[in-house]
Amino acid sequence: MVLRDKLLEKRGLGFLHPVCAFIYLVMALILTMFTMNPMLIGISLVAGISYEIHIMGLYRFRRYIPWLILIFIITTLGNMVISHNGAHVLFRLNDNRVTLEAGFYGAVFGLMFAAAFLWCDITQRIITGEKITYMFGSVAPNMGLIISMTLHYIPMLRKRLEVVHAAQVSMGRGDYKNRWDRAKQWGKEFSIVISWSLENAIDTSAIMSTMGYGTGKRTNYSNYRIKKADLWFLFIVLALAIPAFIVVLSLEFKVYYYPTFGAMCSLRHMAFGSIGYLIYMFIPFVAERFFKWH
Amino acid sequence: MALIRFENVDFTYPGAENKALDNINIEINDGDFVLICGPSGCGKTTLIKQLLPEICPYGYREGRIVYYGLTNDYNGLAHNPNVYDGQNKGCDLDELSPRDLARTFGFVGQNPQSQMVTDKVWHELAFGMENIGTTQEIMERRIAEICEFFGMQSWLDKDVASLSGGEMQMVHLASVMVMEPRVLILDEPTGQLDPLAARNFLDMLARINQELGTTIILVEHHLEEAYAMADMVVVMDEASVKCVGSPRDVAGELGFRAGLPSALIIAKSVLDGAGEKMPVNATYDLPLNVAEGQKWLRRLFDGKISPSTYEMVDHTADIQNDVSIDKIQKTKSTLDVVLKTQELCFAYDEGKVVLQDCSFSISRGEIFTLLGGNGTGKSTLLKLLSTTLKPAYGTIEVLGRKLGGFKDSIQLKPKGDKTPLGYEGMVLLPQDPMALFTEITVWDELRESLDGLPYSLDEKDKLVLDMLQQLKLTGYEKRHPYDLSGGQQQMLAIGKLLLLKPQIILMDEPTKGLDYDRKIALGQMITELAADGISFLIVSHDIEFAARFAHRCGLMHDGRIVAVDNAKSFFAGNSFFTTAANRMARRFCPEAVLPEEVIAFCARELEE
Repeated sequence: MVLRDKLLEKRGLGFLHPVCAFIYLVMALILTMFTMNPMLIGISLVAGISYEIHIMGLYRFRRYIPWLILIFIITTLGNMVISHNGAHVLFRLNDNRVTLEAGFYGAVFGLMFAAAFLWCDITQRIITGEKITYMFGSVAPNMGLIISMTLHYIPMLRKRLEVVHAAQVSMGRGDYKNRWDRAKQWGKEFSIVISWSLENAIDTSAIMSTMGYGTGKRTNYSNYRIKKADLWFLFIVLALAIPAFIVVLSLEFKVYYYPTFGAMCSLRHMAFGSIGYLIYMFIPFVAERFFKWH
Repeated sequence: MALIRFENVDFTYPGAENKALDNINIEINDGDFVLICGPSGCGKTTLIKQLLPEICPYGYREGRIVYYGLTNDYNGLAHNPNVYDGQNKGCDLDELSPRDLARTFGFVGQNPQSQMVTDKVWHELAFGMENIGTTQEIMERRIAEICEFFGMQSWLDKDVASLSGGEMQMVHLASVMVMEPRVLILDEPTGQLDPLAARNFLDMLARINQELGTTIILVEHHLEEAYAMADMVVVMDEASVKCVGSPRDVAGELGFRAGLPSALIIAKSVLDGAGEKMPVNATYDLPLNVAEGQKWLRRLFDGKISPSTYEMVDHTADIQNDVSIDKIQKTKSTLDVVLKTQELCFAYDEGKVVLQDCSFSISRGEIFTLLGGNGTGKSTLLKLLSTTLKPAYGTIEVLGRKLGGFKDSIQLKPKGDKTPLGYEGMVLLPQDPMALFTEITVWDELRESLDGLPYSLDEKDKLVLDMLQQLKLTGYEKRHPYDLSGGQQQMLAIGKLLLLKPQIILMDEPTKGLDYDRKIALGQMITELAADGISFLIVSHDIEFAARFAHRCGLMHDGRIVAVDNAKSFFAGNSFFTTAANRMARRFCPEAVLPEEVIAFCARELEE
């Protein structure tokens, strides 16, 4: 499983230059979040789910399913309680109308939320910390360094917390039945780790200055080069993004929910318009076919 | 050709009465491997920090440090304006810009973890070059080169946090070398490493010195290997330089013995003791390593005892004798076994078994040392004993009680006993004493240990006072624990544990980062405590320490304990995994494990 994740960083979208992959993923996220068209959201959600299953396997994806359903239920019910617009009144709650339209809007919103969540998760899997460091570093080297140092510190702190906890447990301090005592103990362990790390940070800053940090303008080492494939990918993505953005933004394909649902165009028209969107959302699968390791 | 010259350098810390450096005059040649040694607090570190103005502690400096390295445009440094009539007059170190300083002087310190800055190994290697504004093309080339030199291609994509201490130190060395420094300055770089990693690190230093011609200035207190590597040894004591010269020349004049190669200590002591009885051919060429030591012994016993005939004498009898004594002790003490494990097995994930069938027992007042390399399961065993992990199979019995499941096991007392957990039980001294410190003064730190224990306030104060005395920390009550020296921190951590009146103390690498004298002090303390009935399980790499202080030793290998014996026969029975003194003298006297024993043996033989 771990190996699978490792490869993901360098396969499909991960094979491409981080900036190209990042542009694609951010646009996919925008295309998902800036529409309330149920057809488009459905496409985005199906694309998101199928790609997640493709990269992490059904077995590991199953843990996400309850959360996605929870999001869906909360937004649906929430919107039914909050919003009282709509023509079809189902029943009244505390003298407030609870309508079918509000429920439908909430449901579509929930699906959109779930889809956006999945696309964020995909982004997080492909654009690893190392790539974020690189992208920030090439714009502002100091920012990149800070991110890199943070990414280094988190596992370090976790390791130290383990060591401190082991020592405290052996002094008989680790395991309290009382919740308050346990919180106090946790606070103590955390403060040990922090002061220990601050003490180390003084050494680190000394080492940084002996290595010439702060002696003038920094440059940024990059592990990534722009390949021909990256340019082609970017060109294709931008070209495909145009029809996708048209269907998302143009009023012609707009769907309205209140007072009752309806669309500005026929279903067939909308389906035809959505083809570009569909192709855009399934690009990761295409990339996966092109950029794979045999 | 001189590269750096110290001219009458004095240094005083603010508010201090005595000088930290007193009239230092030394000349360091280009391409030399310079070793600076001397007892703790003699000013070694202060001396080398003078070459690193960026991290030099604040204080008052007199005298001049001249740097002669600017002339040959190496590193793209500015052409030296101080060359008159073709003669290099050098320039004052203070005249160099920070960037030139960073390029000229590379620095490696003691703590591997705090020297890591970024998250990935490749970024760590690039870090220094990024700082001084190197272009991408040159960085790529240098990183490729340094990976070839260090053989660390496969590390490039690794997370820094996943490296071991030795690997971190190696990565830092590489990231300093990639900047092509003219001078490499190292402050006790192997202090926190296990012997094998330390050995690798020192070998790499020797390679850098020999293959790249980089000048190396090394401060070290563990000299068993480093001493013979140096071209020039600077011996410091009480803030001034006592003598300078090649290792062999200096060896004769050295005032202190601590930490020197065992062969040298033995040879010098025998020379001092023997006087006229000394064979003439053994008086020259003092040995610096084991091989030379063996030759030296052969010369010493020339014609008296030849190793081959001596080997004919059956020593197994002696060893068996020892074993029988051990057996008697064992039968006597089996009644009083305090810690016992049986067939412990553990695996972090399937396919990689870390512990298999690990059984041993420790009796009251015994010092048991578990030796073995990295990845043999030693630290996992400690985690099982300290109940942060749960064994997959097998049992642990502490003070007659079986450790139950995960975490609940530390409760070694019957139900209804209100004293805090851990009291009068088994405690763990972690590798890094800082992991135990919670308070802002030494006094509070010790008091914290007594929180919730059934004593009155006065009794607690008295206990803390007594403990301060026992730890030799009186006068340091108001200090912050972090402001103590490494050895004192170790003592304070032990003190915290001792206040819990433990019956068993587990120690994880207690000698890490301690110099020779501190190690001896720690060992003596452990011996005294053991005499009072506290049992010790010490997990360590430190063979010399185990040979000197342990009652019994075990060798851990591949998840099990493969050899358990009383300390003396353990080392006498091993061929590679034994002390340097034993390796040197085993042809003549296999049961001598410590330098003193070899010295005594030599003196005895010379008498006859």
